[in-house]
Amino acid sequence: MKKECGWNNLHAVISMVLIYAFLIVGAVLILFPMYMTIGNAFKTKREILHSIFSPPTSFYLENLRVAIFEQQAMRYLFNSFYTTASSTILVITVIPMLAYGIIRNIERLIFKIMFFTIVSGIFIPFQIIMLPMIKQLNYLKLLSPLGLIIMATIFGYPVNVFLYTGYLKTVPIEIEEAAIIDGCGVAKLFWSIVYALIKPMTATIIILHGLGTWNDFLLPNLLLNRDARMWTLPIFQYSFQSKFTTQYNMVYALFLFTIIPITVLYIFTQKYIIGGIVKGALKG
Amino acid sequence: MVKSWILQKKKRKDIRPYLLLTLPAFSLFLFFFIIPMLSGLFFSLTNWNGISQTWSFNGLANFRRMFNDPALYDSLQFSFVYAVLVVSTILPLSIILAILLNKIIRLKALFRAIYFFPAMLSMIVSALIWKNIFYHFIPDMGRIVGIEFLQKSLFSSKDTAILGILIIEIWQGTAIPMVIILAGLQSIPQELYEVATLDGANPGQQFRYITLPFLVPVLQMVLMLLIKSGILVYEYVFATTEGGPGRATLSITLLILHKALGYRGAKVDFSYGITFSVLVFAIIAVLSVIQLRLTSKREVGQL
Repeated sequence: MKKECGWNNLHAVISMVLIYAFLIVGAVLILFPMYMTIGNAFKTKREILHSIFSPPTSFYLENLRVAIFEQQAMRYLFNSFYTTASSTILVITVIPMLAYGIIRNIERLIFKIMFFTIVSGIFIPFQIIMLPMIKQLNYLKLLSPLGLIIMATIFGYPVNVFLYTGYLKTVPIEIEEAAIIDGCGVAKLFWSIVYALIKPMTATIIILHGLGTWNDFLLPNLLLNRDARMWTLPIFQYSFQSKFTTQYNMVYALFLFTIIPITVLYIFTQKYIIGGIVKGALKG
Repeated sequence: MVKSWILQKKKRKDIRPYLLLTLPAFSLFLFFFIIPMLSGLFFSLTNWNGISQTWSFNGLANFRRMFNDPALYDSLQFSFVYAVLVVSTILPLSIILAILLNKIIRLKALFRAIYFFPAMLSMIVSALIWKNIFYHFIPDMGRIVGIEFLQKSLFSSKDTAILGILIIEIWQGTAIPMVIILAGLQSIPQELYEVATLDGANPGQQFRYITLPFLVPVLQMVLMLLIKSGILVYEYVFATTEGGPGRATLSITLLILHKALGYRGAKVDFSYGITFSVLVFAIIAVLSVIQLRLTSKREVGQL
């Protein structure tokens, strides 16, 4: 009996060691491109041609300087930030109102129609909308950051209306009824009471929508690629690669520049980000 | 008390303030989402090239032309083969990683954070980073080590280009399915495993009779997610091979844009491009119906 226990223990230890070994190998594979990015961003052109795998010998900042100042990476960082922030703010103000109005009257036909029209958008691929959308926005002179903010918000409707209505169903209705009896108007009721109750869902949606808009390439590229001053960071990154094909120390410097802000954000908020994405996915 | 409640219920609620809350936002949705979608369906029945002032109806001519276009079959073949590869690699890999991450106790948060990190980056940046690795680093390494097949870039051959794209997808696309499955695993009550161990069930049996049944809904969702992202792949292909060599990696989204907006001297043909997107719409609609069937069955099963 004792002996068997010992064997079991050994077995468990070995399997744990194997699990950790497997996970470490996987982590190295995941981080390898990051090592490449950091390692090569600080190399001179000669150094990178000489050896790509070795760590850099000196802290050569010229690549980053050229990428950030001469190629104006800051402008694109700002463009990305401003479009993402605007669209996210719109999503967390317009959509909860819409979802609230719909779900509290879902027994009425008109609200039912609204609900199903929007939510069935989850199943409609971007590909069917994108071409007519370009024509329509062109006609309205909205092939601009403003157009991008509007469209990013519109494409956020289906999933976020679904998430907010789902969450609002769980919010107890008694408080609202009491407020209405006290003579509180619907809009005031929503902003002063209900909005505070749905904050957890708002936090999740800020993460999901913010990250999605920040990283999106296809939509901004379709809307903005004619005017280089309006580009967002992913479009700039793409064009930078073709501009500096042979100087990949430069290309890596820009990778580093774009990865740093998101990594810093990730390190401090990873628990919420992962949690938010899981919550969004399981409900959607 | 009861009486007043009934009275309140009977009096129809005034919905005007609610309409004020919803109609402006809803009309924006109609204008920027529903109208483009319907006009897409409409223009697929016309010959509008997107530029000229005039156009006319030409019935199903675009569709007839599309089904005789060899590019369609190349791209459908690529997209479906790719979707199958994505599912058959990422699904098992994300299950394995989720189980392992669920098992370990020390450094769990660190490993989870590392494995999830690729999902933070934009797809285009990941694709560009890997493009450099495939075009420069791996061939250079092949030269240093002296291994012949590494010296050629994966993207330069028709047969291997799809694998290069798949590697990027695995690197980045495993993260989200993995954390979803991990959350599914953590929702399984631990007592079940304790009881099963007492009853003498081995780990394989526990996986088969406890873990899997609990995970089925989550796995169905992940499966659908992977199929759709596989069929609709765009950024990875656009940033690396642009559909080449030849048409070997021409994904359906890329094909739509090539046809509609013109590519490498090809004619701009807006309505013809839209015809391809109507087909994508139909494919995704069929998949979504299957998905809805599966989920509604599941809910019945759970009762």
